[in-house]
Amino acid sequence: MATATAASLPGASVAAAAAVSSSSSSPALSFRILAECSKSKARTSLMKLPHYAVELPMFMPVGTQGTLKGLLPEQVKGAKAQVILGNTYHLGTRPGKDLFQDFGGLHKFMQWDRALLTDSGGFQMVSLLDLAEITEEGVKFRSPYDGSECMLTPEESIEIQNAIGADIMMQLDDVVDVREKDYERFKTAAYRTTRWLDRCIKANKNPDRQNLFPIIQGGLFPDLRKISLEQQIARDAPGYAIGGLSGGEAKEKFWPTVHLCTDHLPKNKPRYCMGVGFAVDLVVCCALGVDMFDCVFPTRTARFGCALVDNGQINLKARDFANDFRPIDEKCGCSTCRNYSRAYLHTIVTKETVACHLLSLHNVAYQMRLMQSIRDSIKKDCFAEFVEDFMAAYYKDQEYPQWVVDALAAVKITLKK
Amino acid sequence: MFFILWWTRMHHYMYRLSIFVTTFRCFRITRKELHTSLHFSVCVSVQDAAKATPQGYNHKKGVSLWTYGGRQIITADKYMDLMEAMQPDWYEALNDADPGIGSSKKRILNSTTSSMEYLKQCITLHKASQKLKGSALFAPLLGGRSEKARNGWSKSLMSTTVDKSAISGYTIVGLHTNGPEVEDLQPVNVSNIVKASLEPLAAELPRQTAGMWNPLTVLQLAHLGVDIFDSTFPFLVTERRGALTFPFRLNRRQNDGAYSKGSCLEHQNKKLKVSEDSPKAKAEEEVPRQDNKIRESEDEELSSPYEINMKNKSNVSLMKPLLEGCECYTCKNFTRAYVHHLTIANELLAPVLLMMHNLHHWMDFFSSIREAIKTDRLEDLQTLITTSVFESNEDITLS
Repeated sequence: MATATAASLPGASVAAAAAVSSSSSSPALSFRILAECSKSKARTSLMKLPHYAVELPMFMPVGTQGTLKGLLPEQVKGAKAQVILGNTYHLGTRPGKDLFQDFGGLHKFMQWDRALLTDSGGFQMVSLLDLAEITEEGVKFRSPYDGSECMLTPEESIEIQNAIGADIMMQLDDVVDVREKDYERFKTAAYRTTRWLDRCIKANKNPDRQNLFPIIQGGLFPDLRKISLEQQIARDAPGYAIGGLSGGEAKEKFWPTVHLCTDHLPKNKPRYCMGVGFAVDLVVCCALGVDMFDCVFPTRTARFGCALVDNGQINLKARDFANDFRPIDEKCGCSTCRNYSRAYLHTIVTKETVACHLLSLHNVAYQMRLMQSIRDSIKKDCFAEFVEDFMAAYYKDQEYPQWVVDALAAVKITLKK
Repeated sequence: MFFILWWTRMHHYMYRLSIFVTTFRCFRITRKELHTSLHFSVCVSVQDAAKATPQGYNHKKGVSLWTYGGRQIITADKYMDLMEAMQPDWYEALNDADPGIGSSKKRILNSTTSSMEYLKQCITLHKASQKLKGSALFAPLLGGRSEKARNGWSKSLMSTTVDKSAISGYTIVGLHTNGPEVEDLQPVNVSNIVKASLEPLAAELPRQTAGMWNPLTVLQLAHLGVDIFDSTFPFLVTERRGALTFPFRLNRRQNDGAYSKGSCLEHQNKKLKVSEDSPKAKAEEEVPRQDNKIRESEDEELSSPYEINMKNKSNVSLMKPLLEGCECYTCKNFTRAYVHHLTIANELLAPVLLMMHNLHHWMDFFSSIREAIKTDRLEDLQTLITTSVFESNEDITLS
C-alpha cells in the first residue's frame, strides 16, 4: 500500500500499482504472486485457504464420493496433493447435507486436513441424469432413486456445499454442452449464470471461511465470454473459474477461449480452468496464465491399467511389460515406483484391486510432480525452456500439434522443430 | 504356537493373503521381488483357501489349478519349477486333497496314492535343488474325512518309505474343499479326523491348516495342536463388508474391561436360534453342525455373529469406530458412518479400511490364544467367545 511520502517519489506509483496488483485478500483467501514468467503469462503464487496454504499452479485430484480410489488420506498427502475435489451431487445425495451438518463437514468425515473444493452439482446432473431440465429457478430433474421430481437451485447447492464445508465452493452455473450450436442458448446461459451467482453469494452462510468462485460461461463465442467476464468480475470474488470447456470441443477453439479469459480476469486472483488434466493441456494452460485445474483422468485411467509417464501413458496390460523389471518411471519417487516393477504390475493389473491403488497413487504423484516442475521453472524464470523440453519429450520427432504451437506462440514461447 | 501371514500381491495394505500357484509367469519373479517391502515370511500353498476348489479335476496326470488364464494341470516337476522361481520360506508338497464330504473309499485311495507319489517326487527334487536350499518343505496330511485313511496316511509319513529328513512340517488338507463354506464347519466336525491325522506324528514339527475357520473352530484346532493358520476368515469377512467384533481378551477378572460380555456387540443380522419346531430346525438336524450360525437367504447379507455388516443402515450416522477400544488404523481415524458410506457408495477404500481392521483383530485374537495357552486358559477363552457371541448357556467343552 502506497503512503503519501512514497507516492511522491518517481516511479513509486508504478511500483505501488504493481505491488497491489500481484496480491489480493478476501476473508477466506489470500493470494500473492511469487514469480512470473518473463515471456508467457505463467506465474507461480501462494494461495492461503482456511485449511492449507496452496502453491500454484496446482492440480486437484478428484475424490468424487469423499474418497480417492481406494487411497488412504495419508497416501494422498504422500503423493503431495494439496487440494482435492468432492462432488456435491454425489455427496448431497448420500450421505446428504444433514449428516455433514452433524459431523462438522467433509474434512472430518473423510479425515482430510488439507484443502477441499466442491463443484456445484450442476454439471453432474446435466451429464448424468436423463431428464434434467434447466429453468430460471434451477435444475429440474428426476431423482434416480424414486423417480420423483426434484429441483437443484443455487440456494440448495450452496446449502449442501456449506454443510460439506469445503475451502472453495463453486457457484451453480447454467452449463451448456460446448458442442451446442445455438448461440442464443449460450447467451441465455451467460446472463443466467450471473443471476445464479448473485443468488449463490446471498445464500452463502460462511463467507468468512468458505470461498465462492464464479464461473465464466459463454461457450466458444468471444463476445459472450466478454459479457460473462465483465459481469462476473464485477462481483469481486476471491477467485474465478473458466467453465464450459473440456467437453469435447476442438483444441483450436479451446485455447483461444482460455487465453481470452485469462487476459481479462484480474491478475491478482487465482484462475481455475475446470476439467483440464492431460499433461500437455496443463502445460499450455499454465503458459496462458491459469493457476488451478481438476480432472478425473489420472485416477480413471489407473482403473484401466494405465500409468502416466513423460510422453503420455503406458498400458501395463500389454505383453511388453511381462519382463520389464523397471519401475513405471525411474525418476518418480512415489511408493509404487520405489517398490514395484512394471512386470509385477502387469501380472496384477485389472485382476487384483490393489493394482488400481498402486496405479492411482503413481498417477496422482505424477501430476503433482509435473506441477512442481512447472512452479520451480517459473521461479527460476526458465519456464519457456521447460515447456520446450517437455514438448520435445512428449512428441517424438517433434510432431507438435498445431494448436499447441499456436497457443504457445500467442504467449511468446516458440517450439523449435 | 505362532501365526504367520501368507502373502500375495505385496502391498502395505494387503488384501488377500495366500500365495498360490497362478501362472507360469511366476517363473520370472525373483526372490527379491517376492520379499520386497515385507517383514514377514512367505509360504506357498497349492490351492487358494478363499475360493472353493472345483471337485473332480485331479487325476493321475497331475493336480488342477485354476489360474487367471484358466485351468492348468500341474505335475510335480512343474510344481517344483515354480517353487524354485518363488523361493518361498516354506511350501507344501503338491497334493491331491480333493475328496470332499461323502467321498468314496476309492476316491480317497486314489488321492492318497497320487499324493504319496507327488510327495516323493517333491522330496527328491527338493533335496537336489540348489535354489531351494533356503526353503522348507511341508508334507500334507490327508485322507478325506475318513479317520482310518488319515491315520494310515500319517503313519506312512512316519515310516521308512518316506524320507523324513526333508520334511520340516505338516499342512492339514482335505478337511474341506476351500471357499466360504468352511465357515460353517464347527469344532465337532473336525475334531476326530484331525486327531487321527496328528496322533502318529512327531510332536516337534509345526502343523498348519488353511481355510475360513471360524474363531471357535480355530480354538478347537489350536487345542488339538495346530500351530499355523491363515487369514481367509478376515479376508472373506471383508469381502462381504463385515467388521469383526467378537471379543477375545481374557481379563484378570471376568467382569471388567471393554471386552466383557455384552459390550460392543451389535449383530444386526443375528438370528441365532431357530425354534425347535420349525421345519428349518428339523432339516438341519441331519447336518452335523451346531445351530449357532444360520446362512441368510440369498437376498439378504451374509454375516456371522462374529461381525457387524457395514451395509446395514443402522450405521449411517454413527460417529463411533467399528469397534470401541480397537487400536487399529481404521478405528483410530474413521467412523462407522464413513465406512458405511464407502460401502454403500461401492468405493475401493471400504475393503481397504475393513481389511486393516479385520486383520488387526485377527492378529490380536492370536495373541490372545497364545497367552491363553501359556496360562492354561484356553477353555476360558472359548467360553468368553461362546457366551458373548452366542449368548448360549450350553456347556460346550473342548473335546
